[in-house]
Amino acid sequence: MAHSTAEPVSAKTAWSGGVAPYNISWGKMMMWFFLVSDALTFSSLLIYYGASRNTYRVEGNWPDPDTVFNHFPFIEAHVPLAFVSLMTFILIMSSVTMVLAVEAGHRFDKKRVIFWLVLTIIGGLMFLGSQAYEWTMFITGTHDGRPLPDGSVLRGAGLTQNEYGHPLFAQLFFFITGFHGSHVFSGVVLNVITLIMTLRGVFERKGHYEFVEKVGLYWHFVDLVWVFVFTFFYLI
Amino acid sequence: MELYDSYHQHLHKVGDPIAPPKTRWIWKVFWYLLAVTLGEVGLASFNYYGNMGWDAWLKPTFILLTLLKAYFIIFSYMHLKDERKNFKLTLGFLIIILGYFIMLMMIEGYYQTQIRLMFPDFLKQTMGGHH
Repeated sequence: MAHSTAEPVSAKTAWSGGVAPYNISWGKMMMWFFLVSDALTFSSLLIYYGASRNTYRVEGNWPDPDTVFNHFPFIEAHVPLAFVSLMTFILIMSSVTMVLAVEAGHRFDKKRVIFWLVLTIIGGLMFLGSQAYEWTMFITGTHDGRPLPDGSVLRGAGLTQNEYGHPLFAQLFFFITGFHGSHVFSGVVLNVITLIMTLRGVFERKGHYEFVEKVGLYWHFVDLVWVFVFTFFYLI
Repeated sequence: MELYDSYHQHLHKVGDPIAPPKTRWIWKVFWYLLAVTLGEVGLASFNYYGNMGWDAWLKPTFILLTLLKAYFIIFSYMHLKDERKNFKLTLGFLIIILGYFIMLMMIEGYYQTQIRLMFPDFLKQTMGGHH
């Protein structure tokens, strides 16, 4: 990497204009700042979830995620944590392929960039499909459901009520995973755009593959948020 | 415009020989991430199938392992360790605030649980029954 970050920049002139004080390109720096702001948004949602859970768990009205999220495709048994661990693995793998694409971009290896970008897109789409499966199982509900006072049985989950417990549980699940899922989707769209630009040789003409690096930052952020959602929603 | 663009311009012409990949560190970090994730899932599974009395330090362990994963992803995969120190501090300050929020959430959450355990009826009366 021909980054001149090792060169010392004099403190007197660093902020006088005409140089980049952090020795980082504008686009990359702005991407970092956006990611930090987005991190704070996701944190606020997760903190709201944590507060709600502690408030209503005492009354016994908050479901245990291990008893709600225990489905696995093609398997009839109840396996808590298995599917969501698979989703975490898929997203981490796609992060690995993304950083491999960035590394190939540093060496101007166009064929490898394309190869790793395609794998990253596939990983992202696999994650979105898995999330759709989780939502479907969650919305459909269990066979028993929850008997209501008027005699009927409530099955599944919606935005106003759900069979598992307090309404906030389903509302927060949909909002947090939905907000994260829309980030994954936009990340996949960005990756497709990057792939098309690579195929057309835009970066070879430009002389650098920094676009891949910036989209890579976004993609790693999406993975990072999922790691935190996985911990605070399913583990704790 | 040139100043704020990438610093990699004109390093490579089409048709120049391409260097071999240096990806060992990427796979090393991947194995670390996989190990930490499997550890977390294993810990959670053990706890689900039989209460081992680990509750006191189970949550902090999960949070620490997650922060460890976050450290790997941010510093290695997002290349933050290659940036200037001052830029790392700019972001690091905000990440420290985030850590403070996580701690706040744990402490306030603990308070919420305890106060509701201690005064279940009193809170229902004062909060109008909904909380």
